[in-house]
Amino acid sequence: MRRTGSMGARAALVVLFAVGLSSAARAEVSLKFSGKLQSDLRFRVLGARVGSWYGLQELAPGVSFNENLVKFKLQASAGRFRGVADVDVIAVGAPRPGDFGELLDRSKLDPIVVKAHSLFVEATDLLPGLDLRVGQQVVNWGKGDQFNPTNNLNPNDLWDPLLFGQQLGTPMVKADYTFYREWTLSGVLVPIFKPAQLPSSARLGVASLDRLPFVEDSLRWRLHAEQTLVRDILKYPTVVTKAIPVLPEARLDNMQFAFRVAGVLAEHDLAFSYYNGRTDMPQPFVNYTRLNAGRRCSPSDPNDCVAGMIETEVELGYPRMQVLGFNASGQVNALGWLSKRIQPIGYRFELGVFFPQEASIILLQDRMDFGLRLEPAGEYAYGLGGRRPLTVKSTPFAKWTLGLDYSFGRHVYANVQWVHGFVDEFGAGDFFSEGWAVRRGGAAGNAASLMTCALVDPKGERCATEILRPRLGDYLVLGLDFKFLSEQLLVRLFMIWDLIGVYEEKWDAQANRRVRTHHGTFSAEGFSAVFFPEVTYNFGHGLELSAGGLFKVGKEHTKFGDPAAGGSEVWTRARFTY
Amino acid sequence: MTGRWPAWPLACALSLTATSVFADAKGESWLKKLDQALSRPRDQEMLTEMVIQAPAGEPRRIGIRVHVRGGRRHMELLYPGDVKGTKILSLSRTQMYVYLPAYKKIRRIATHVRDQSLFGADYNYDDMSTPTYGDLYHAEFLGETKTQVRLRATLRAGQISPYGKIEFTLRKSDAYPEELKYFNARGTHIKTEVRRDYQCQQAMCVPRYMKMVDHSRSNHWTECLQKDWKLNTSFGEDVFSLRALQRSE
Repeated sequence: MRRTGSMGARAALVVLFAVGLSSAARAEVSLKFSGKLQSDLRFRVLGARVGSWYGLQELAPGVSFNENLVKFKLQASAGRFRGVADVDVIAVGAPRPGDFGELLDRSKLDPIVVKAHSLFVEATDLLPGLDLRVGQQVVNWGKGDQFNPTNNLNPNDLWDPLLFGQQLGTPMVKADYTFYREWTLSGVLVPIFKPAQLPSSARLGVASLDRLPFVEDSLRWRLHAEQTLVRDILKYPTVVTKAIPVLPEARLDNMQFAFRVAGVLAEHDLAFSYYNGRTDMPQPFVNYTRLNAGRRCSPSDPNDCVAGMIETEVELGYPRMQVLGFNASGQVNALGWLSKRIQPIGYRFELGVFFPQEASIILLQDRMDFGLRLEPAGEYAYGLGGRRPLTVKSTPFAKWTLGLDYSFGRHVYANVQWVHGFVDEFGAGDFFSEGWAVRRGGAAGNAASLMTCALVDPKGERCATEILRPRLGDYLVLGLDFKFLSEQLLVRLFMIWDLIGVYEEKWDAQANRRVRTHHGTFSAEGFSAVFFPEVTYNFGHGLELSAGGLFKVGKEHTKFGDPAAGGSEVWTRARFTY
Repeated sequence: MTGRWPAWPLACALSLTATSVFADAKGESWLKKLDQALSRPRDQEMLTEMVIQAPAGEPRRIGIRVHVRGGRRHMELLYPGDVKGTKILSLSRTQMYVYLPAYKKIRRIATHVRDQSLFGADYNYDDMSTPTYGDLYHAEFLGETKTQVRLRATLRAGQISPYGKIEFTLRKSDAYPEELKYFNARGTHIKTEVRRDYQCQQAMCVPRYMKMVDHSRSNHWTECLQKDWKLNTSFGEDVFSLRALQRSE
């Protein structure tokens, strides 16, 4: 009994001590809470589609997006230590029950997505000048506005086109050591690779089978001729039945890491960085094709029939890359000599020099009997001297953003950027080194000439027609803000304009060679742009109402007229932040 | 070489002329007293509510926590939600940064933004990053009463400011300003600021109430109400570092 009593007293003491400690600790902990509630409603004004009645992928006009979001942001800090949680809970608002059973499944009728931007703990001055942050976080090293070739540690979040430039939170370990005034050396380790979140319209890109990813011209031309022959003459169209992303295994040698040294020199902010990891945009590396014979016809046209389908499964990988980065920002008084009233112009320059791993693709096929011709099972005969075709060359390439901004009076703010290499563009191909991306491909000619191109003279160069762009485009990004009514009313005009246009390439019988014609950015074939007008009114107390449009203009083979870009939308947004 | 030497006396003459037109010893002396009064505290922490006249409806209120040490200033916006978490770090008149919580990003503020309104207020970034005036302006004594002194400060050659001239009305007792009239480069009176209800500790004072009226915006006004003021608390130097700003998330 005494023993029990003693133990009880000791336990009580321990509890009291613990409570005391906990209340002492609680007294030191400060909590900051913030967040927002947001409702987005969007309408696609023009639909987009890829493919024929077989393998059709479509974005229909109508309500395209209706998400309601609540953000919770909590910061708990005690002295030099703190923890941060920044989490969005999104009611996706688009029930899509697949069968009757899913009508009984609440998660299918009321889908909820949880997105953690930040979930980390941080210690400041763990050693003098050394900060450590561990957990899910976003490391935003790029100085550019929205276009950041040096932000490689986090994958791009392209789900919502209105939030272009946003990145997904990723678990990582980050250490920052401030060694001299504003000069900091940072090191980051990302244990597990996370791919980019693609927009819902990306499935239209996968279905665009004519956009052959091969570097080798001859193989592309031949495949264009073969695809056209079997689709149009033999009536066996090709469709993608599955696209499977294959993520790198969670092994030590697949961890990503990066270093950066950043500081201030002569009133310019400078940073040099190195990244070793992978591109977050998927690249095909295995293609498996099989024949699914059997006549079938269009439901709307019984005369539109095919003899069967060539079904393709593609595996998508994420090639390794290293990136040397440079960031600079500050201001230059470039036009001050004209007038004293002209003030220095703010600038931001962000450069990423990419060293990609060479990536090849394996084309495998089942035994395919087209009647006219029998293709044996096995690996496709590329005709490349025994090697496999490349999808990415190891040639280094550069992407950059040069941005300037200026205020005109109190009401107008202008931001201009030259972007070389869009977020989804990867691989050498610009004015430094040649490399092309196919925007549209096919083959011209009658059955005899197609058969010659595909089977007799298997270079395909006399039949193949292609619309090409350099792998890395150049874009003019222009943003104008007009502020009125004590900045409560914001009218924003934003534009991205493709400066390159497209190149059309085909066989010229007179010249007896393939010729390339440039359709410039001002031409009907080459013009492509995004127009993004927006009006926001701030009612005060955290309430904002916005409306705008996101209009993508251009032919289907252009950058932004591409159906995979998602079509044009008008949108509204209500947001309350607290 | 021989072709260049005459420029020296000419430049000096112009400089002397400029000084004699826009400055006098008494004015310079009072401007120095003003600067001394403003920079007397080693450091300050303030909690301020900025009340901005709204085009319609009730005024907009923005809560700001300010840390000041010497010429450096750190401001954190506390409310409302749409600006909450925004931080502005001013290390000098030409080195300012803003942390934008929506983008989790630090952005350098270029000079052309300095005369832009701060969240719709009649104060601009330059007002927030000008702790003293003597390094920017020459001063000319305009007159005095029993309790007040009037000065006209004119922008020094080569300096950049939204204001070509400022007319100060100072308290004669301690040189703290009670009224500032701001003129643009063309000499147009564009703003008037009043500072009153000074509270003092250890011979150092701050106004509890400030009001800026922008005459170029139909007399649009912004008030700053001092909610709390702490003096010489010796807070950490880290507040004024980019490193701390990067930890803003």
